[in-house]
Formats: sequence, structure tokens, C-alpha cells
Amino acid sequence: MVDWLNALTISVTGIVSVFLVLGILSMVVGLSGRYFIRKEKEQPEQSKE
Amino acid sequence: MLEQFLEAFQGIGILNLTWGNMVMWVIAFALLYLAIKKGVEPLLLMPIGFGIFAANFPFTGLMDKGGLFYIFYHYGIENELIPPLIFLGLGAMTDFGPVIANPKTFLLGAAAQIGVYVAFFMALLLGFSIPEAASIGIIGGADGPTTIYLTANLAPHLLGATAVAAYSYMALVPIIIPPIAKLLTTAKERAMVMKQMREVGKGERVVYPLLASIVIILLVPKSAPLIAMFMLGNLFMESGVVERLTNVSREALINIVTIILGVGIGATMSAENFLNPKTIYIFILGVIAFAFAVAGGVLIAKLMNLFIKNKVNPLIGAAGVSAVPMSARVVQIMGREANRDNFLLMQAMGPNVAGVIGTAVAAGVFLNIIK
Repeated sequence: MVDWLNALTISVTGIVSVFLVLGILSMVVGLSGRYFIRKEKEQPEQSKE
Repeated sequence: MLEQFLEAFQGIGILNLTWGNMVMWVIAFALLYLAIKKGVEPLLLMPIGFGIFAANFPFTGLMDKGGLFYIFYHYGIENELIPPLIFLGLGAMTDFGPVIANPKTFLLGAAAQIGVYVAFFMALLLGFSIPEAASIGIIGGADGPTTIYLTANLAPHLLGATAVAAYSYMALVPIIIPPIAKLLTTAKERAMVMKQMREVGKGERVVYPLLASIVIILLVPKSAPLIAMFMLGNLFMESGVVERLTNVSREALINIVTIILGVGIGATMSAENFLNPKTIYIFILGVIAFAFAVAGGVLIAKLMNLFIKNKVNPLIGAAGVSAVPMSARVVQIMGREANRDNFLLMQAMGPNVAGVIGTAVAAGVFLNIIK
């Protein structure tokens, strides 16, 4: 006999966790990307000075 | 003397060959045919096919405790060693540039995991237990090593069926994706040209595996064996300072462990283990999982377009089904069919590699809750 409540908990936890992990990773990678782009832009300006 | 002779005679294999053994040989020959003649995932299906063939000879002792295939299976698969080593090699081959340049495509890799949970529920309805259903559902992630890793942990008796289903359907991606993606998109959507991606610098590429490890492993610790090795392999490659380690990870090591993995899985497929209705259900549920994974990716891409400025072509959502890089290639072909100026390959590689991470996370969550 399947414990449907347990099964529902497992699947809801699973899908929420997958979106949460990849969502946070998306934000973190996006922020680090902005930092690297800004740093890249600053470098040519510094070399001009 | 006569007794000894009779004993030796009774130990001859041919006298003990069963119908079940011969049916398994037919299955082994079918897999070898697909691998050799049709080029279907030959790197895996050939060792699996031969493993089935050899393990179904009577009295070989190959799968008895201490037997050669038992050692492959016990120390390589049951002890969870080989799938993480394969992830090390995959990491050393994977270019995360597309997903770093367009990080919102991580969500498409997550969306494709919907298929995992749909198949999980359907498996429960068909009478599988929760650990078995999780092992079947993960086929929808289209990631062979993750499927093997999770099944070896939760339902080792299903290992042969889930592994063969996962690798067979990965090879069938060009047949499974197009009808579903076409059904869920308009011709105008498929023809949409996406904004060109920015170049990703070396610094960003080197930092990425460390950042990704911190985020993923802190949130889902049980995904660590796969994610840590995946990111280590990627760090080897992107750092550019350990060329020997990069090369050995993505060539010699991955090839060696693939042989042991394939033979070890094939050897678990004895007639009594494999020839039952459950195997047929697993193959049917595998297709359902794949289909819902593709649909989930496409539909979430369409949903994302309601909120974001730089719209994505919904086709790239279909590449969230891991099967790297085949699903991205299928998306590229579909995009070109709709619009000759459409080049979606690199855009689709984002959700494609995100899908690998998504499946590993889904497996980690299953392990966390079930085991």
C-alpha cells in the first residue's frame, strides 16, 4: 500500500528544491557575471589613464 | 570414478541452459545490434549487451560473490564509485559558458525535471514502491550516470532495466523531442531569433565550479558525490593548468570506468531479475518521463517569456532534458527548420547543461528524503 501523503511530500519537496537550487544558482551566477563585466570594463579605462 | 564423471557431466553449461538464459541472450544480441549496426549509444550499450550475454551462461560464477562481474558491480556500482567518476569526466568535457552567459536558462534545466515527478507518481499508481518509483522517475532526467547512481542506492534490483531504459531513450531524443516541442509551440515562436550571448571570460569560468558547488551542495548535501566530481572535472578543464588531469578524466578514466559500469549493469540482468512485467512498465514510464520533461521545459520557457525583457525561443526549453549535447542539437535543427537564420545551438546548451545539474539535484533530494 502506497503512502500517498509521503509520496506527495517527496514530490513537492523535490520540485521545490530543484527550482530553488537552480533559481539561487541562476541569481548567484548572474551577480558574479555582472561583477566580472564591470571589472572587464574598468580595466581598459585604467590602462588608458 | 563414474560418480565423478557424472558430476563433471552435470556441470556442463549446455545441459543447464534455461529458456530464460536464451531470452536474455536475444535481448543482449538486440542491444549489441543497436550499438554496432545502428550506432545507438554504443559506448554503453555494447558493454551492457555483452555483460548480459556473458552473465547468462550457466555455472560461470561471474556474479557469485567474488566473481569477476560481481566485483565490477559491488565495488564499482553498489559502492557508488563509478557514477561520480563519470561525472568527473563529464565535467572535464562540459562548457558551462552558455549557462554562465544566460543564467536564467538554469530555470529551464529545473523545469525539465517535472517529467521525473510525473513518472514517479505514475510508477506508484502501477504498484511500484516509493524507492522504485523514484529510480524510475529519474529516467526522465535523461542522465544515465545519475539514473544508475540513484537506482543503485534505492532499488538495485531494477538497475538493469532503468539503466537500459535511460540510455536507450537518450539515443531516441531526436524522435521524442520534435513532436512534443512542435505541439506546444507555434511556428512564430520556433522561428524566434535570440539575442547573441556575451563572451564569458576565463576568470568567470574558473570561479563558476566553486560557486556552483557552494550553492548546490549547501542546499542539497546528498548531491555532493555527483556535483563535487562534476565541478572538479570542470575546474580541471577551465583552470588550464592541469592538462594531464583534464585529459585523463575525459579520456582514459571515463573510458575505463564506462567498460566496468556497462558490464556490471549488464551482469545484473539475469532472466529472473529482468523477465517480468515490471521491466515493461519501466520502459513505458521512461518514455512518459521523457515526454513530460520536454513539455515542462518548453512550457516554462513560454511562461518565462511573459516576465523577461530578452525573450527566449521556447524550443530551448526542450533541451533541459540533459542528454548532452544531443537534445541541444535537435533544438538547433528544429529552430533552423522554422527560420533559416536561427542558430539556437549555443543558446540550447545552457538549459542542456543545467538539466544535468537539475537531475543530480533531484536525485540528491530523493536520497535525502527516501534513504
